[in-house]
Amino acid sequence: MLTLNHFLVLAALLFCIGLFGVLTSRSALRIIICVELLLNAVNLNLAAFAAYVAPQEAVGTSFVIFLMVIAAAEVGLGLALVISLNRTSSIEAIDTLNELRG
Amino acid sequence: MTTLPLMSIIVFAPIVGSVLIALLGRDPRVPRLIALAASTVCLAAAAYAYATYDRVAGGLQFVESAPWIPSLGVRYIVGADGLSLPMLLLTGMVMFTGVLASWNVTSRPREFFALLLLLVTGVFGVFAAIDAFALFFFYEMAVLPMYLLIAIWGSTRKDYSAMKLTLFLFAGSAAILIAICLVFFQVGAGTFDMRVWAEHGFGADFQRWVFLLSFVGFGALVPIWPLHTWSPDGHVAAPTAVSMMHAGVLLKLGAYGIIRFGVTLFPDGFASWATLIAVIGAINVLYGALCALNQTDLKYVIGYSSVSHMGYVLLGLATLNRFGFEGAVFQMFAHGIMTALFFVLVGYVYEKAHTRQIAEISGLMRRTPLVAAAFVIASAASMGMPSTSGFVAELLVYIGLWSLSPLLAGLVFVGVVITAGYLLRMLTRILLGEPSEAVAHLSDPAPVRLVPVGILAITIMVVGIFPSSMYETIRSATGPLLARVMGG
Amino acid sequence: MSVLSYSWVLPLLPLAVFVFVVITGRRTPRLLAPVLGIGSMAVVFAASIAMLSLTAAGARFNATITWLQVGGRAMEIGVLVDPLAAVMVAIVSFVSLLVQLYSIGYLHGEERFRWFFGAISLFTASMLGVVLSNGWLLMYLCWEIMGLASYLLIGFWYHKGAAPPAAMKAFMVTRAGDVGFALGLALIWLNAGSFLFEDVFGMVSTGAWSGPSLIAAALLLLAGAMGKSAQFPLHVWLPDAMAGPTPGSALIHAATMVAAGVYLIARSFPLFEANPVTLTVVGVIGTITAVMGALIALAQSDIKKVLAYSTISQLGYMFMALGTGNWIAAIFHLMTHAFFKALLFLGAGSVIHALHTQELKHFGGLWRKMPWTTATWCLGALSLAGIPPLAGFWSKDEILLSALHAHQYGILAAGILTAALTAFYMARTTFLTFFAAPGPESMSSRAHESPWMMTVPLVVLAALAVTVGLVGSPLTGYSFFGLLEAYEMPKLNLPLAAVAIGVALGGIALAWSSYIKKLIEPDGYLRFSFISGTVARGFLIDALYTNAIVCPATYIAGVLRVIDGAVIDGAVNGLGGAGLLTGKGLSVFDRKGIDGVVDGLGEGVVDAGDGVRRTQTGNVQTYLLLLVAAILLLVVVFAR
Repeated sequence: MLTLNHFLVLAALLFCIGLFGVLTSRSALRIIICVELLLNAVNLNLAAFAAYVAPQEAVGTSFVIFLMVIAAAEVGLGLALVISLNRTSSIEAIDTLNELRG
Repeated sequence: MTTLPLMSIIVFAPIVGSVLIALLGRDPRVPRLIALAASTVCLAAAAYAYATYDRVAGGLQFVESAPWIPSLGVRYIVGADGLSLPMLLLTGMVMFTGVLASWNVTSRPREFFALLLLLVTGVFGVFAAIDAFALFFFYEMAVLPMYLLIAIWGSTRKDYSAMKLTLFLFAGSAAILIAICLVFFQVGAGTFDMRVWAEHGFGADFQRWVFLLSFVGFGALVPIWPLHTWSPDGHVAAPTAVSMMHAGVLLKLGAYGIIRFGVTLFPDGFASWATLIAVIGAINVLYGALCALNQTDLKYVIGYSSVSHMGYVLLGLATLNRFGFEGAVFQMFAHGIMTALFFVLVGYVYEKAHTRQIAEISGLMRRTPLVAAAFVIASAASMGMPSTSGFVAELLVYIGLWSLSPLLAGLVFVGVVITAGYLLRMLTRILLGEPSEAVAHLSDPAPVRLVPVGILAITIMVVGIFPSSMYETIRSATGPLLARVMGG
Repeated sequence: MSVLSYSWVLPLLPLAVFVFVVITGRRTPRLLAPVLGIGSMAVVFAASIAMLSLTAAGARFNATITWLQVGGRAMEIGVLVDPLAAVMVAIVSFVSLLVQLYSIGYLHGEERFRWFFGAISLFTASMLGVVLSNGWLLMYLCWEIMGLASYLLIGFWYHKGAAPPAAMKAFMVTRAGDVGFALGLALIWLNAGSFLFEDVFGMVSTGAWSGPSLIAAALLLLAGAMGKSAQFPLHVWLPDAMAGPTPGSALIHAATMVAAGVYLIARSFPLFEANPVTLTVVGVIGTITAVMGALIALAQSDIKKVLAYSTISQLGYMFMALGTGNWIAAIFHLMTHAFFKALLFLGAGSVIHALHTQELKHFGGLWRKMPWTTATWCLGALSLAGIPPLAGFWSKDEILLSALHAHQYGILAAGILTAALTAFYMARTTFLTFFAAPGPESMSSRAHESPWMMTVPLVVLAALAVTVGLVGSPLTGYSFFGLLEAYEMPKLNLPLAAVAIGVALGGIALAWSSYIKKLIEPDGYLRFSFISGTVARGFLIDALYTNAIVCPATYIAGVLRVIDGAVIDGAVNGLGGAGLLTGKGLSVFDRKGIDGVVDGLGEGVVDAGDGVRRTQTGNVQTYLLLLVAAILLLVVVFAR
């Protein structure tokens, strides 16, 4: 029997993989992919809660749809940034970008 | 009664002069002319006030009053009575003659005369003030220019002396300020008007301790022993006009403050300390005279003689009788004039001979007979010889002392003999004998320099021979004062 | 109004001369000063003759003006003309007149010729003021001016080493007495409320004022008199005052300054009379002074010093007379003494003028060269020695007589002893100067008689020294005593007069046998070291003053000066120093303590910031890692 917990554990695993990828990746492209993983882990959570807790209302699913749109926009923006970064400083490794350093 | 604001003219003419000097005094000869004009105005106003003062009515006259700092209840109130008029006249004369005696100041004359006038404003202000805050304000106003005048134009350890003088005076004024504040809060009428304060009956203990506070505060300026050491040093270091102001007038500020503030407001407190004051006065007389006996510098002799002579003022006050009071105030005037004369003369000799060492000066009688004659007159006044103003003062103090204590009279006897000793020692060394090297080229001063000498010498004689007018003026103030002391 | 009402002008005449001389200085013709001085004296003398005749006829003048109104009572000054005042004015003006005439010759080459006459005029003016005043206040005023004038006159030759200290000493010593006078004034005012003689005498005679304060007042006045009249122990200034010009000495020692003290007591006599004790004090002081002065005069080798100590001795005589209660005798002796002592001083001046030395050993046999001087001097000396019928005999006899009548046998004995000593030392001086054979050091060969301007006053004074005593003799019915209104006329006591004459002649004879006949070794008594050492130096009283008063006073003054510099100033400086030190300490505390804390805080913040800064790597991933770690931590902490 597939319970809510199964979905939640899956989502948590996905979130952890994404987080790990975001924190450890040196490539900007991979970071963006991992961010997508994070977002989809959240989407999975939302969908699971929506299905198990309040199946009659479309609140959770509508949030999921919103998030997928935002994720698409975010990926578009993120890819554009990565490309322009590549053009201006021709770097790929993100950990060399430390201009925020105090 | 006159409608002229005489007191304000006296107080503010010097400051106007000071400002004018600051604005116009680029030409080195202009400052002294402005200063002379200002001091002439002051002297004329003071003399006019003295002459028109109603001696029969007595009390405060020429009173002017205006709000000053309303939130504190401070008002600008000035006026004059029989106590302040002789002092105003004295200040006017000393200032006038002091400006003439400084006619040849060549080093930064603009600043010199401006500061001198500022100093005089302070002095006049103290003598004219009726509001205690104004009195204190003017008192402080007199001290600062004194410091600068000594420190810049002085001689002989001037920095040390100027600093010492200022510190003593400020320490004294701190005590005075405390006393003023205490009285202000004790009265609680929200005013500094001393006429109002005088109506307030203070408790015995309050009188006792606040009088002591004000006695020490103003006494530092008298100077009372042992707070006197700034005084001879200050006399010596100061330039001529400042020495004149210092010894002639500034010391009187202290005695005046004791009388105006201490004795008037706290008659019982004063009476309870009379013995102490008498003892300090006697010490002043003897100590000052003995110290003067052994000095090598002319100005030190005169400086210590001031310490000695101001002792008579204290003794006179301490007698608690009319003769002593009158004698004390008379002595304040007489001593002011005679010391001013001494300093004019010493200043002239120093300027020309470049030395004040008694050992290096002799034979002045031969080279400068008029200066020598003036020295004799000043010394005669200092010794209390009859026909000089000093005699009247000392006679009154003697009479007062006899009725107080023959012992003190005996002590004063010794003091007077020593006084004759140090003055004769000085006179004999510097006047007689062959002219020494230092004075070999000296001659009597030019007429403009003789004017102050003449004015002061003639004043000594005139007041000594016809003391009535001065005496009546003084009596109109000391009479009610003594009634307060004895009636309280 | 009688002419006497103008008598207040008299002192002002010589005063005007003084002022004129001071103001004009050397701009006037040289002889103008003496002419004015002598002219003013002539006027005053003429006026005094008129005063004498008017007062003898009973006229009096007494006028006062208020000097100062003190509490309802007036301090008054004024002029009193009575026989005593008239006599004194006559003596003063006459002696001053002659002295000034004499001085024209004596000081003819002097640079400060005019000034001398100015000073003499001031001196005379002050003395006239003293004798004409009708109260102690005005008298004190003139009294002090006289002190000042003596200072100027004695210090006249200020370039001479001895003159300035002598002038100072004279002023100083008399000033010490004068302070007593001033305190006495205060006491009189407190008790009597007036300074006028008549008021105070009235109170004393009615008993309104008596008791210790009266004695004290009289003794304080006596102190003033002792200073001016050179009485023991305030006599020390007088011998030194010889440093002044001889005519000045003549004036000081004959008619003016030293007479003032005697006059003061004579004038204030009711105050002294009221209490026998004060009279006794006066008598004792006079006796000591008379004997002491005569003894010291014996041992002097300087002609002016002899005369100086003789003056002291004779003033003691006058005080003896006052002590016996006979003030008229004192004034009588004052008058005769004024003339013969002025004569002797001017005679000595004539000798000094001729030889330019004052030492007796430089003289001898001068009678051949200076006949006028010798003759007049001898008359003066005989008068001083008390040989009848010269003036000194009558006045001296009067004093001995009043001592006898008052049963003051001590004073009588001292008087006779002094008379003998006086005769001896005057004879000694006379012989050594004029008659004895010139000694090895004599300069007599250079001597010459003085000009007429100097000898004329000598002759005039000699005539008076011979005759003036007659006014107090039975030959004129004691007219002097009658003039001054004596209670009882004296009566010549022949045995006493015989004794007095006897001792005087004895003294002269002894001197004659010693200095002329050389029967006794001349000055043999000087071999005694006590006499040549102690007596000749004035019984060492000067040394006593130097060691007991002047030195200690100077020492104390020195000590006080040090104390003032070291202790009081030291305390002040120490206070200042302590303030500085405290300030330094505080500033250290400030820097290390308070500032340390403040700075430490600041630095701590900076350091902390520095540390914290290192965490800002600028690496977004690091930030995120920390973010996650923080969230985890928060979850761990709060998610219980």
